[in-house]
Amino acid sequence: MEATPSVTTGSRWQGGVSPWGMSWQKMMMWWFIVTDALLFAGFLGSYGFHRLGSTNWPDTGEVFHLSLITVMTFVLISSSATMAVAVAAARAGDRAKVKTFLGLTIVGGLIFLSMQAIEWSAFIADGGRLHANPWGDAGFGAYFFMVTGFHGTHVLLGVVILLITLLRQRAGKGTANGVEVAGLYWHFVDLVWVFIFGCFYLI
Amino acid sequence: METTRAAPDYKIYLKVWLTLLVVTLVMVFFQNRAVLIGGMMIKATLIVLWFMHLLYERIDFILLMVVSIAFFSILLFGLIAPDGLVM
Repeated sequence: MEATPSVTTGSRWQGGVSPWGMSWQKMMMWWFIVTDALLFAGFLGSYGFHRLGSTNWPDTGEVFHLSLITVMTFVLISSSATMAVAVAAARAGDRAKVKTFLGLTIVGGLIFLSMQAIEWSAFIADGGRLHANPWGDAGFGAYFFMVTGFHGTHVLLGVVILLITLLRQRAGKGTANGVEVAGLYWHFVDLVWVFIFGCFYLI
Repeated sequence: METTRAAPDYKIYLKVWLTLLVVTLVMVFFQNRAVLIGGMMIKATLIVLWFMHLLYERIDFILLMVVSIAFFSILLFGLIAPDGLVM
């Protein structure tokens, strides 16, 4: 279970080993999420800058297979939901349920990555490159590969983290805190996709 | 607010999940700017507050994270992107 909070007084951290009444692992994951969110905010900001100043940005409805991307979004949201259940089960000490739902989350992540591989393959087969593409603004391909590539790398790392978490659970070594911290990262990956899906594919 | 809650309420995750799917469908269906921005904000709020359990943390931590992530992300995006219009 979670490390016992040692600070109970007041609303501010007044020393002790547990700021904000949470484990240091969880707190550091939140700090990491803050910095990672700003990385993607910078990406999307520069994409917005380029796109607003561009006169020949491609009609994304023509380039992307929106039905595929929508299914990818569904898969990622669903894997985030199963992760939330795994975290709740871990807190309740229900190890069997934790393993089941961690497994489902991993499957969701792998399906998402497979679909992204299909999407990239189609994009490249249609002539999309980092430096040029047949649809319009030359920067389009660069932003596509950078933004979805960075996100895809996050998903891949997330799958690895979840696999390690699952193996530790199976070995009886994993803690509820470990599941929760891995879950925070996984939800964050889903959160970033919300903005990529909205800003890059739909607008 | 407590940081650990023993009895899990799985129903809330089902509700959040279904809401996220519906909002996604609405976004894909309409695709106008106001719906998209509203949809993204709703989805982000649901994910952060319920899936990431921020709602159940202490209020000072909630404010710290919301200000750090939301405010600075919007500031960063808002300082960079609009300049594209005057290029």
